Amino acid sequence: MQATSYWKDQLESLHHESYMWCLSCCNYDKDMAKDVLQDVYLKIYEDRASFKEKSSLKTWLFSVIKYTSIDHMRKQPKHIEKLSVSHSQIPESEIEDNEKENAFTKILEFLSAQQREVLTLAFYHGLTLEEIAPLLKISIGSVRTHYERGKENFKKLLLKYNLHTEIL
Amino acid sequence: MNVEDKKLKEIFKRGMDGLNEGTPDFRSMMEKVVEGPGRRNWFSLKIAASVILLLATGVFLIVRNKGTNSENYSLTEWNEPTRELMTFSSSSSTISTWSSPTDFLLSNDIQQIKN
Repeated sequence: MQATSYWKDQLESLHHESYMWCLSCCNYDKDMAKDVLQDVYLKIYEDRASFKEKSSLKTWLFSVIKYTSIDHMRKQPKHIEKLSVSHSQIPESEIEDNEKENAFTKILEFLSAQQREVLTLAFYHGLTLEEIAPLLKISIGSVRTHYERGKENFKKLLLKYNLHTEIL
Repeated sequence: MNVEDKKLKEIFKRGMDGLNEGTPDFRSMMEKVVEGPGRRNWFSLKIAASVILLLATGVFLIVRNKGTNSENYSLTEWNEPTRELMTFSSSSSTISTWSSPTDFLLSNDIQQIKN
């Protein structure tokens, strides 16, 4: 797919959502998200990633973003370590220190990577569970499980750290 | 989606919106993508360097092989490397009948020529 004006318009219409998904894939590292998105656009421009119309453009684009961000993360292992930390491993005092700074990011970090991805795609980007499954290359059953557990954990974390009042 | 799910979705959306301190400008990103010849030049440079390295290695191997060609001798002209250590006397018959330990490996015809 060459970056003709048609495709430029298509990409531009999805740019904000692409960046937000990219941010999520890059563990909310803004600099890395910009680099990844730039790389994704370059892949599309150079035809190294081409849209085969097997899914919607948005689903395809999100898939390219996901796997490009994985490549970037492999080059910078510190991001993988950060992502793999579960909420049970982080002391409560650490939450209290930073909750005002970035409460929502902290909650997301305590969810498992897949729960966070499924919730982001479903709640923020409005994708259906059926669309999420091929994007994350997991079965629909797994998506449903991550969705349900993610919701439960998200709810618990909001209540546990009393952060729902700050967010709302 | 039930009421509780809708509430969670709303919280989630607001939280995500709060993270967005500014989406980078699409046009400036695309300009960098289109203007990216530097990246491609670097790629071409790496390819060119690899080709030059391969050619240089090939030339070096060819030149080295040419310089180390061994000389060939006819079997009739061949002498034992230790022959010069022996003292020859024209009256002595022992030397003329002397044979090398590996002579038995040669056919009779060749032995006659040699002797």
